[in-house]
Amino acid sequence: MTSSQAIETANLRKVYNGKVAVADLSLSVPRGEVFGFLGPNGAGKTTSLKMLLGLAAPTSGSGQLLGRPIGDPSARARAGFLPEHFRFHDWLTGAEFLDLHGQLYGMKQADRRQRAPELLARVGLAEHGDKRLRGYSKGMLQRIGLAQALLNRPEIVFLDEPTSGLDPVGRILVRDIIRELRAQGTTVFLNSHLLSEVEITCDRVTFIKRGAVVRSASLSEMGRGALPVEIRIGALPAGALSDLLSGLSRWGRDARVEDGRLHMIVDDEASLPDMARWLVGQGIDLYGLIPQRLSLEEMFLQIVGADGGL
Amino acid sequence: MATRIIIGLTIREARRRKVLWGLLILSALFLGLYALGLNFVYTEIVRHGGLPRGASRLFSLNDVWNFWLTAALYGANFLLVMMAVLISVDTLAGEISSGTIQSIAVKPLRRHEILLGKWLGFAVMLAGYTLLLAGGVIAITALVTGYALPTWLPALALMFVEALVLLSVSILGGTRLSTLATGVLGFGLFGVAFIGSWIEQIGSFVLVGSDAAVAIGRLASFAMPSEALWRYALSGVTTSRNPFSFVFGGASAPDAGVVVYAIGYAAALLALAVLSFQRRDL
Repeated sequence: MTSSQAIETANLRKVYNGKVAVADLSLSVPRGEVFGFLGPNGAGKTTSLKMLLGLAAPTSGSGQLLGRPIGDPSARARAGFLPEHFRFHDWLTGAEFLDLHGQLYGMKQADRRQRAPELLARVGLAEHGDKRLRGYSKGMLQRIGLAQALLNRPEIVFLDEPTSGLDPVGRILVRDIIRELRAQGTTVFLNSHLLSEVEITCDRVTFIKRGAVVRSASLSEMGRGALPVEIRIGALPAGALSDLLSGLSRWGRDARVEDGRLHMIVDDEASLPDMARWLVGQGIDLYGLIPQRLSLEEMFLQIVGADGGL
Repeated sequence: MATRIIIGLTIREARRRKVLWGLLILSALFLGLYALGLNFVYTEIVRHGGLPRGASRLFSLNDVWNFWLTAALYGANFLLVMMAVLISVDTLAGEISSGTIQSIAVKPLRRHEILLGKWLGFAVMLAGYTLLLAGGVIAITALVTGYALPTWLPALALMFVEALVLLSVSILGGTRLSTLATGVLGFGLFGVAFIGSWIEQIGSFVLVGSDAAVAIGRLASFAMPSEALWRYALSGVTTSRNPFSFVFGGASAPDAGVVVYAIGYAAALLALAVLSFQRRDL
């Protein structure tokens, strides 16, 4: 195991009272990656996260966080965590809450005094630092929880459903913060149900089902390489179809007519404009040239199954 | 360092959630009522030029003041035991069930620092409470009647240890049980010690040293030494003709061994609590 990995686990397993929560989790997340951890309800996402953070002890298996064995406080000093059910000491004000958590991170007073207002402003709560958390709305609690997770300028941030209580403005905020973290080289471990969020923020996703990894995919690679394309054209003169199909085959393969529509697999997305120009140049009425990329949602259903793995 | 943060947090929470205010106001009420009653009796006795003739053959005035004082301490002791359990019963069980503990436990501190910080925070509050309530009773008695206990510090210390024993039960329970079950455990054990102690005292008094009654009392004290500590504290402050010394305290007096046992008991419970909390999935 090298410390170029932010997270590295081997066969992590967690059994609660005879019930398997995580069966066999082997993960590796490189430093600096925005990593999406996906799976249906009950797949073991939160339990996995708890094991990584030392909240729950694995029944068997091992793992490292930032090069230290999981459960080691020195790794947790460099990690941030926004829990899914963010319950905090609600008798504290927002500013007191951040100061307390800064102390728990072992931050110096001067650093806390600088960092807390900075983060309050970043999550849009600058006006609410003197209010008790008891009076915060769900979205505000989630924002302050996020600020808490970033206090120590962590090397890795665990976000468990970070947008579940947020309105669209809050979601954009979280997305922007994740982008900033990526730009700073911070690893982000994102546990989310909102696939559209994951799709735009994550570099790579891993699907788990019944507590084991079923597939990992790089989202940037998903956009590259072979791409199914649907081509919509007007009526062709008789006999022109075979010329058309063989002409198109220079950009890919599998050109065929299906349900009255033209389909093919293009080798590279970048050749689409050339194809369009060529089709028009052939005097063909071009109505559409539509990439049929598999969305994350479709991928999720394909991998996990429509039953949600239950 | 981390322990100190948790001690501060525990005390700040008690202050912020008005637990400290509650304790202060109720203590003031308790002590005020005691001062009022004692002052009334004192003026009556002074007005009559001393105790009635029948009573004066049995008791000296100091016995009477001593009786008043120990009766008030009895009440203070009961309150102390209750508060030791009540103020601490929710601290772990509640934070575990709500998930509040999660954002604390993922910080770079160790589980034992969280647990000891909480224990110490409550211990500090209970020390203050003991001093206020029991010290207040002793001071008020001296101020109103002029009767000062020859020694009082050991009694206060013993009551404080008693509170620590119950605090440890409550903290240990909280690592695994719900708030309610932890409270049931704390008060239940206190009840066992209480009834065992009364069987021992009354049995010894009525049957003059009944071995069976003493055995039951001892057994109960092993299960929960709180009441034995209290009786030991009481035996150090009662005069020989204080009625308490016949029935409630002195018929079968505990010895210093109970202190050693109780401190060991609290320490063992605390160690168990640390182990249990370290293994607890949060």
